[in-house]
Amino acid sequence: MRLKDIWVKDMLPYWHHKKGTNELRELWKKGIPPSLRDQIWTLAIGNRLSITKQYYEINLKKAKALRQQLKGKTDAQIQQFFLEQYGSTLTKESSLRIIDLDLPRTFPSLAIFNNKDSPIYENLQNVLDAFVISRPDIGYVQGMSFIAGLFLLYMQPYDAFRCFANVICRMSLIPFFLINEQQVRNIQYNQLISP
Amino acid sequence: MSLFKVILEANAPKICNQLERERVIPQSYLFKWLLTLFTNVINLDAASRIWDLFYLDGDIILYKAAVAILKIKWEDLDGKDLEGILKVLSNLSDVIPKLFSPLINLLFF
Repeated sequence: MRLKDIWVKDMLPYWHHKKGTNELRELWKKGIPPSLRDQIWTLAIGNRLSITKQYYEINLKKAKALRQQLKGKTDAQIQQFFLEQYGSTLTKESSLRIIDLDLPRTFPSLAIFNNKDSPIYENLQNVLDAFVISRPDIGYVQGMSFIAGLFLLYMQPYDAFRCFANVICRMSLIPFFLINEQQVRNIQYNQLISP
Repeated sequence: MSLFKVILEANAPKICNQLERERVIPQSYLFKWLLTLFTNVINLDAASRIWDLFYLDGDIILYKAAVAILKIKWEDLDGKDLEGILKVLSNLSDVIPKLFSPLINLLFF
């Protein structure tokens, strides 16, 4: 039997029984067939954050409303807007603006995220926007577009959002994203990779 | 000592020594690899392969993957100075799954 058939016939329907068994582990170590990555990654990552489709849509809607409000404003006006609405110009919601800079730089060799009119460009923007609005303690950190982008190469936007948020919010990864890069370099790094 | 260094030293003592001799600290390359979960470092098929294992075994895979990449690149790194090493480690598009997959399962920790 092909690896994919074993996954489809013997593993996926019985996921909760097979989880943690050697049989599944040995198969898994051989690599997941790309066409099954959406299902298997989703199951393996789980949903500790209890994200629902509605949660994604609500946050996406809020993000779009915020983008609408920022549209056409100058940098100074945007600063003023965040100061008035959020009490600070440094609020993480303002990291929405970095997303636009990062999107075209995501996977340049694939040339799929560099076209503003392509559907996958919009999907990536939506996933990242919804994340920023749903986790204003973290916001957007440069590099996130690559992680969300890889999820989107295999799955639909909502599934990609759910997996992305659950992966970013793993306890071991959060120090990377919570504070700025320089701080992580200086302080957190050694703690993070020490047991 | 960091977990990464333990794994590197146990699996690739020569590389570990050379990096130390040339004062290449892990921060100078590993930070970028981990922050993007390898997606802007190597071929996407290889990165997807790391993700497969990451969701099976967790964080340890990220460190093992980093060591595997260093082992694959060993020939290019050997004898280079700090600048040369960082240059090699900044262009890893030739690390493909074929090289990478058998290796990562062999690393012990």
